[in-house]
Amino acid sequence: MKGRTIVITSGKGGVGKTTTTANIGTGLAMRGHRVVVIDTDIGLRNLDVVMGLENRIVYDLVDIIEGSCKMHQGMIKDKNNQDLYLIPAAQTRDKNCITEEQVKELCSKLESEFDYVLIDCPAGIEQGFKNAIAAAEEAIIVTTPEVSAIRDADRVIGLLAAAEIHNPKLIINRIRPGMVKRGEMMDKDDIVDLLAVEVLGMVPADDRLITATNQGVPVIHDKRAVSGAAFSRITARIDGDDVPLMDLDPKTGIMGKVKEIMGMNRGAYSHA
Amino acid sequence: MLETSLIKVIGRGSTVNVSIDDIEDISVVCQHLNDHLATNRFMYSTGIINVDVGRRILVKEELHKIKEIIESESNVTVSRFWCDPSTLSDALSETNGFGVDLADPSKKWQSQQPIVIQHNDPATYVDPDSCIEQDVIDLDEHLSDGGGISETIAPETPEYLNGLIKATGHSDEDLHYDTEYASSAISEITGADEDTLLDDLVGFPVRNESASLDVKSPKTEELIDAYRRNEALFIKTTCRSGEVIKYPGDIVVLADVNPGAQLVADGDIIIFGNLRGFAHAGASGDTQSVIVASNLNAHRLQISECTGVSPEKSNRSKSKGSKPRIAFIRRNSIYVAAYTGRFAGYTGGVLYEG
Ligand SMILES: Nc1ncnc2c1ncn2[C@@H]1O[C@H](COP(=O)(O)OP(=O)(O)O)[C@@H](O)[C@H]1O
Ligand SMILES: [Mg+2]
Repeated sequence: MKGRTIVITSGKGGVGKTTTTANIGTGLAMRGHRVVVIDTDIGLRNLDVVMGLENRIVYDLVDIIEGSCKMHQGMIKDKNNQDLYLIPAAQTRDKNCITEEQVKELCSKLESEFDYVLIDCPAGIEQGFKNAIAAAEEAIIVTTPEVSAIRDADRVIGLLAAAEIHNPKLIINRIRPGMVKRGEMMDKDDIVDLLAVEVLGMVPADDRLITATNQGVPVIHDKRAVSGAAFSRITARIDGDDVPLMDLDPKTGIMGKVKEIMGMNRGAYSHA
Repeated sequence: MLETSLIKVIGRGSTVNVSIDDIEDISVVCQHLNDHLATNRFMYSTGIINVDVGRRILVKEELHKIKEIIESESNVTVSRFWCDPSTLSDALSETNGFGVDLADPSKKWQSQQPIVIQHNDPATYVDPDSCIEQDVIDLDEHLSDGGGISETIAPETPEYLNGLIKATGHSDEDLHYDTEYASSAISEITGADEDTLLDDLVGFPVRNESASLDVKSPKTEELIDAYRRNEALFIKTTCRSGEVIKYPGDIVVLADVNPGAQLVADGDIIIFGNLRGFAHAGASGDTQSVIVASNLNAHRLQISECTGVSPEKSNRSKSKGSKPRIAFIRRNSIYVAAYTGRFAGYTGGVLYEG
């Protein structure tokens, strides 16, 4: 069976595309799927760092595409998972050195070997973006609850539609439940009202994620991290499980639900 | 109301509408009309009447004849002819019968004498209900100079299609991509390729044997514009940041218009959703154009040359519970009022200062 090629994109930089790609890739592999993640951010690679594979890089995406190495030589096996591979971006080249057609060709080969091909997209909407979306049939949009990130997400959703990639799914990253509660941060409903797309999940801003990233271990491995749990739920949804969106606020969490049912908690607001 | 086998007379305020049967042979109808007026002359004192020819397509001689019968057999003046707007599409699909080569729009302009269907003008037109259903053939355009139209429409180039662009892009590098975006957007919106779209836009309901009128007048452009205003561009998906949609007629959006999106229409802009982007109606100068939105939350609006900025401070307007509103020009300023109809007389409204 042919694998699913999914691009993780956002328009704006620094919203969490690379983090999301690493965690979803890891999560899907933990569920027993064969997964390859591709870093298309040529010149600014960092998916390898987030996954802790930087030291193992010999060949990269451009080498594979240009034929300087075999496809399998350019794929790096993950430290923790047999079924997870990384194709790193080239660091010393620029994004115009590969074409959309070449990316498509590579991905169609990968699709026959893997269940999931995840593409980490660079920021922006130029050639790098076009390369990243060229082979994708599905898209995940990552945004943060900030007006600028949402505006860029909106733009990207429009560009994806023009490229025949419809119904992208949204991940809202770096949510601060406290701020949402105080009305200082946009909530899910505000964002969905504008973007009019389905929410795949919400990830809270989490210090443990930063620690994990610095150690080169995707936070989904950290059983105590709330962001890791959020990525596990997102992974399950991608894989077809029906996991309801959950309340992100630890204070309202399960108890909040109980109170809500009993009519004691009028201000229930954010569900992830 | 008075009704005979072939005609129907309905009073509308100070005007009278006469609908004539659109199936029976036209000479039979004319004879019937003549007889009816001759015997009921007393009923038609001075005044103005409109004649509705239904789905029938008539040439100017026939229109003349009807006008002549009515005016000689009564004391009324015929001010307009109306036809059913579906004749537009019929005329287009039956073009072979009219000897028009649809594939080459330019031929059409040279060989055909157009009947001009004018956009309903709120200033002269009183009944908003029939407005939606019917179009007006303005007699002045047709029968002036005692001899029908003295202009033809110049060969049309597909140039204005350039206006139908979803422009995107930040740099030259993007240009290639942008064109693709534009063309896919066109077919997405209209479900048609560019050629069909062009035909749709330039087609007139024409049937004319007496050709060869090559006089080009300054009115030509106006006439094309008037016709285009009967065509609307339907957009069924959300207009997103970075999209620029220009159209030489009305634009109807069945979704939201998000911040950073731009709609520019020569006619009206109607949005069945939340308008948070920029909308510019009457872009070619029509100050009668309006912007209507189920949720009008745009920060800035423009109609014709006139711009207006929302007096509301909050730019995070929630869509919940708001009512449809209409933006229009009054005394050279944009006002926004609760929507009560496209042709309702608006007196109040909030000023959007320019
Ligand atoms: N949920 C989160 N909580 C805290 N920090 C985060 C979160 N998501 C991302 N970050 C941090 O934000 C920065 C940018 O994330 P990254 O995934 O590299 O974004 P992108 O790939 O979109 O540019 C990284 O330093 C990352 O550790
Ligand atoms: Mg990145």
